This record gives sequence, structure tokens and C-alpha cells, in this order.
Amino acid sequence: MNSYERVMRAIELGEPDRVPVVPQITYTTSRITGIKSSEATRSAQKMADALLAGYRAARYDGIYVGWESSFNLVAEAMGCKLMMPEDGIPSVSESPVKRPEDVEKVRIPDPEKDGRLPIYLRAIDLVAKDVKGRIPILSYVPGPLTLAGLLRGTSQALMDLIVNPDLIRSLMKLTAEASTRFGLAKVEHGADIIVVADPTASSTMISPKMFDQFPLLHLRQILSSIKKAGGIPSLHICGNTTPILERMSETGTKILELDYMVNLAEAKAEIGGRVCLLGNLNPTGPILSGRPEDVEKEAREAIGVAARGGGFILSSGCEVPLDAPIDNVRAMVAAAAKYGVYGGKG
Amino acid sequence: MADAIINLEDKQVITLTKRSVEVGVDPVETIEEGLSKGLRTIGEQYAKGEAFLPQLMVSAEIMKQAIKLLEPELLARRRVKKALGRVLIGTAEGDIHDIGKNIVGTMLEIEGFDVVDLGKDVPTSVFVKKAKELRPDILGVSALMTTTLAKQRDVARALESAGLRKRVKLIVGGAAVTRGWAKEIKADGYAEDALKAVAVCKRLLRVRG
Repeated sequence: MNSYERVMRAIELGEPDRVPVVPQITYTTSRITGIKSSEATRSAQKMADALLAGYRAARYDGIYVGWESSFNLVAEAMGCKLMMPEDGIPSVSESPVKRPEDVEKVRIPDPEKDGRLPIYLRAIDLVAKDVKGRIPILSYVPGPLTLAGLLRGTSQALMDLIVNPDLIRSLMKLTAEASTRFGLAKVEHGADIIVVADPTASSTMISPKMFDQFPLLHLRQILSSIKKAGGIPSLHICGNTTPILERMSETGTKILELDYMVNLAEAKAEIGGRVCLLGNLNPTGPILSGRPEDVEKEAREAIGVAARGGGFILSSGCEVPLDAPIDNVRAMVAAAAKYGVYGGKG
Repeated sequence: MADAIINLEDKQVITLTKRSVEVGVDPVETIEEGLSKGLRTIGEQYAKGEAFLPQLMVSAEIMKQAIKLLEPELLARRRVKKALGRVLIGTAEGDIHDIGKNIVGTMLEIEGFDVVDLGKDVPTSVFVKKAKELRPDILGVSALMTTTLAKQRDVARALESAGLRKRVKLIVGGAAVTRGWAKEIKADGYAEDALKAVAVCKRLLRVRG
């Protein structure tokens, strides 16, 4: 069974030969090819080289093709200014929607032309050329609420949910469309799994009721468009999502990516029969600052509570930090082989 | 008034605040028995997972506006709010995430600390300069990204070289921070969320409750 088959079996809620392992590792691979993290944000070749080098260094079962958080990337193409450290992770430093009427100025980007989006599509081409069909390609697109938050300024957007809900609704129409177009382009370029990442929708930020009132409908639409285009939809909401697990499992997603704050055993019991769970080792815990044996222990526990019956992919709860040692990623991969073997024929 | 805050009725809070000035209510009482009380209730609900960030942020914003209206009265009566201590907070250089830091600031204010917020992307030298100038009891540095963690250590070292380290308690927090890291850079306190941060500040200043 190759990595592609292994991951697909898990997504169909079955038991592969062993638990698939797909760490969410992108910019950390710059450490392997020795480039500064920012270099890959301007060069598809450098990005693809690093991502493939990361794969060869640790041999996981899927490659996330992307670099900086997709929401910053798309936010930039929609008018946000980014602060881009030479060897760090970009973040949005200025938002274009200062007054409600500025919504009119926001344009939906063309993924083939606008901002740095084409670089990211080209990186998918390059990775796909090498691994398509053998190793699944995953790729993020921004969630509607998170992207709306960046365009407005996240603090202000959170308050707008109460004081100016219509503004957020107008913004989300645009951001959901931007996200859908980017997702469809990624499918066309060879991504197998499109991950919609909407951290601002998590219960660390907003109430479950607000989740229903604001991003939910758009999330459903984006995930469904991806499915129609032949991509496999995945939903990634980091932070604590315990109160909205059931809602998330009913969005039409095939995979739910859970962060480390979520109790994996409880999630398995609650929704494990409905969607494939992916997660959820603490990215800033042992992976960043522990020893490989600490990561192995954490991975073993996750496998212990979530592997049963299949439908589970071992991963980090969110992106692997820039300075996490690759040996810790290797330890995660090794743990899947050591503790994740299923009894059946696979 | 507390209820108006809890229900996020901004217009009513402003009306009640204005009226309290007109009828000569002590502004400190308006703050402590009205505004703070309401915000504290939302803070407690937030702690229990019954209220969420948007409510907390909007209520804090309403309170800020109301306090602005009370400021002339506070000055005229030469009343100062008694504070448990002064806390200086900011997000580390290179990091522009500030929601978590703002929430910590709000929660500390609710509890009666005098909070000075230096904002985000604050250079190490500014932390030190302000610590000299404003003589806070506690200095809090937030870092949300693993790449900006090192700046917390820089602040710790810079305070040391400036001879301030004994006078100011250093606390660190933010999504990227762990207890182990706080210990490594010899911070005096660490908390994983805003409520625990309040408890840590109280403990450091030996405030009861």
C-alpha cells in the first residue's frame, strides 16, 4: 500500500495497513535546503525543492504544498499589507477595510494572475510532477471568517460580529468566493486535498452560535465546490473547537483537522464515525522543544485513542513551527509505523 | 448600569454614565459599582466558556468610552482609582498579534490593575525605556509566534543590564510560550490564558483573592 492509497483508505473511514502520518510542515523545510524562509514566498522552485526535501528527509504520507498561512497570502492579494521578516513568517500589518464603505474596494483575486498566488499554484505543479498519485498533495485555502478578519483587522472584525454584522456578511461573500476560486485552481494544478483553514471561526475566538450565524454557510459552500471539482475537502479550524465538533462534521468535509486543545478520544467518540480525523500533536510542545522520544510518546497516545477502526491520520495540531527539529518530525513518522499497524489485511 | 454593560447596550451605558455625573455620583463609585462590575461578570462568563471574545471586546470598548466621559469629573474631584499595581504590557518586536495581549490587559483592568499597553511590535529598547520611565510593578511581554519568542529573552536580558530586573517582575505569555521557556529565560511568571495571567499578577504582587 503506498502513501496515496493509505491516506485515501483513512479518508473513506477504513483501516489501511497502518495509520497514515501527514505532519503539517511547510516553511520548516527551508532549514533542510538552507534557504531563508522568505525566499520560498517568491520562488515556486525554491518552495517545491524545500517541500520535497522535507518529504525525503522524513518520508511522511502526504505533502502540504504551501508556505506561509494561505490566509495571509490571499489577504495580500486582496489589499492587505504584509510584514515579511526575512527569515520568519509573514503576518498582516495593515488592513484595507478601515471604514465600512471600503468593502467596495475589495477585489476577488484571480489565482492565475494576482499577488503571489500564481507562485503557489506553480509550486503545486512542481511537486505534483514528482509525486502525483503516489503521495497525496494537500493545500490550504483561507476560511471565510479569518480572511474577512484580516481585511478588516481581526480585533475590529470580532467586535463587528456584534456591532456591524452586515459588514462581516458582505466581506464574507467576497472572501468565500476568493477562497473557492483559489481552491478550484489548486485542484486543477494537481492538489488532491484542499484544506479550508478558518482559525477565527474556532471557539477560542467566537461562540458556537456565531459560528452558525457567520462562517458556517460559507464553509459548506466552499467545501462543496471543492468536492464538485474533484478535490477532497478538509476543514482546519485551529484552537479549541470542542463545542463545535458536531457542526464541523456536518459541513460536508471529508477530513477534520483538530488542534491539540481538542480531546482526541472524545472527538473520536463523538464524530469519528462520520469524518476522518487528522491531528493533533501540540505543535509548540514536544515537536518544537522536546526530544524525539517525547514526540514518540505523544504520537503513541494519539494513535492509542484515535486509530481504532481507521479514519485517522496522525499529524500535528497545526503548522510545525519554523525551528522544530526535523528529527522530531521523523519521530512522529516512526511512531505511526511502530504503533499504528492495523490488524486487518490493510 | 452593570446590566447594561453585560447586555452590550452601549447607548444606555453612555446615558447612565452622563446621568451619574449630572446627579453628582462619585465617578469612582460609578466605575467600581457599575462599569467594572458588569465587565467582571462578562469576564467570569468568558472564563466559563459562556461568553466569547467578541462580547468581552465590545464590553471593554463600551467601558472605555464611559470612563472617558468620567475623566473630567475624576480630575475635578482629584479622585484616582486605587490600583493593585501597575502593569506594563506589549507584544514582542516582530510580532503584530495583539488580541491575546489586549484581553490580558482588559482582564487585569477589570481586576483593578493600572494597565499601560505599549501595543504590538514593541522594540526591546522601548520596553526598557518605558519600564524606567513608568516604574511598573510588572512587565508583560507577549509572543504569538515561535520566531518572536527570542525577543522575550532579549527583554529579560535588557532589563538585567539596565539594572531593572530586581525592581520589575517579568511575565511572559502568548500562543508560542510554554512554561519551560518561561523558566529558561527566568521570567517571574507565565500563564496560558488571560485569567491565569490575572492570578499570576496577583500572586506576584501578593494581592489576596
